[in-house]
Amino acid sequence: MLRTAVVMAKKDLRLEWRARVLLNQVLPFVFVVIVLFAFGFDAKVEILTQVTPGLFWVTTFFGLELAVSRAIAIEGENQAQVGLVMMGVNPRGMFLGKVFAIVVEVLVLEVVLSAGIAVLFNSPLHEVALLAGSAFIADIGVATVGIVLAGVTEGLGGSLLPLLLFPVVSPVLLSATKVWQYGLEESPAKALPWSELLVGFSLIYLVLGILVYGVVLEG
Amino acid sequence: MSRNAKLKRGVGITALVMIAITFWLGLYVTPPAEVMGNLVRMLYIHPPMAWIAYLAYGITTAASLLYLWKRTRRREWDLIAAASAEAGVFFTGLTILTGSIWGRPAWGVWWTWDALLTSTAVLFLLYLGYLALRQVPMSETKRGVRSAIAALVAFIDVPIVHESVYWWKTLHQTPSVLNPSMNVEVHGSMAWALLLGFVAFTMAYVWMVWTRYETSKRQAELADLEVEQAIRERLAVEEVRL
Repeated sequence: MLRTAVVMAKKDLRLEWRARVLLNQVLPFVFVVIVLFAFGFDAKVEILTQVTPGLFWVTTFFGLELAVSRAIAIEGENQAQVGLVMMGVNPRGMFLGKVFAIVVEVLVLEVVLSAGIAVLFNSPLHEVALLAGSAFIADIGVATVGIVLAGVTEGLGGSLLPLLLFPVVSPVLLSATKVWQYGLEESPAKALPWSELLVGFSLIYLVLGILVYGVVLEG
Repeated sequence: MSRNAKLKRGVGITALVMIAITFWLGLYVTPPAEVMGNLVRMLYIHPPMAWIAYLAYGITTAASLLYLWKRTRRREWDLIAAASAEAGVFFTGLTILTGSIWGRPAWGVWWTWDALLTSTAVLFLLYLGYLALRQVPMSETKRGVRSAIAALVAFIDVPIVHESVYWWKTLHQTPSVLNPSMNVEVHGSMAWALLLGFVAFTMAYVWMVWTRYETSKRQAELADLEVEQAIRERLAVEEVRL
């Protein structure tokens, strides 16, 4: 299973490296979202500083959703997924590989995004380890359930995925936002219960994803 | 009329009568509450509706699990899951609506971003998404499997909704009936009105799911017949050609 996961992750990352979708489309898109938020809050830095954690996670969610859609779409081309299933490739390995590749891609996106937000919204990044750790765990939570739901909605139109995904991952996004809020306020102790909630949900989604991904491929 | 249809009609009429009695008890027989006054009357229907929403999503999840398991995979489970989810969305909507009507005089607002209210709204959206997924044209098995997975994922929110009042110390009070100690904090005629409300709305839910399930089953059987008819016609045309 782990071997399949590594191969799958390498394959997806290599495809991403060649196609540069993250660089050419997702990154510019998230910056458009940041600018739109700035317009929405009348470009008032004091308000933007206050709402930075929420803006960061909403923007990251959009980026994650694009990454997840792409991860499933590349398997649809030339019926690659059918081929993998026919060859008897371990679905759990495929699932973990895809999750890993998405998490790596989104971490890159988050590094750029947080730097952008720190500069544009005047929000210096404190407690970097807490912020990075919570981002990593939240990415796993969103990517796992995202891969499952992207498989469920594959070929059914683009609007279904966000409709299903956003409500499901809202506890993860909410917890991550709170952890970031306390991290940016330099109050890491207050972030502890939210961190526990974040880890709990991400774990539940990871286990659920591992259990049902084989059935998703069947469907 | 078949025995099945008579039984279903009986359930429907009983539900209707019991709901009418709940309203009569709630509006005329029970006294105003000590703190809430007449606002308490809304609570004879609001918690039962929320209970039905939980029950409906629980049934959807159980039926989805049975559909996903290949040994028990039958069209009926998929149709029951869908019928129950529709009833669940209907009752979640009513829960939000009755809560909002109660909240206006009690809290001074129609809506507040309280943890319980927000998680209930998220639950509503989740199952709207589930129903939207079911509306997309695809093969029956594909729809059954995909929507069953979506139902499993969506059900994770149900315990969050119920526990949110404990986890986040919300504006919304803790449950008076479905609390961890199962100690009902309502007494006298008020307790009877509330109990009747729970039974009445459960009966209404059973009738709704039963009716919807039968309609969906007939639709599916009709679609099968149409496919068979189309195949027969096509074969007849081929035979004439040969």
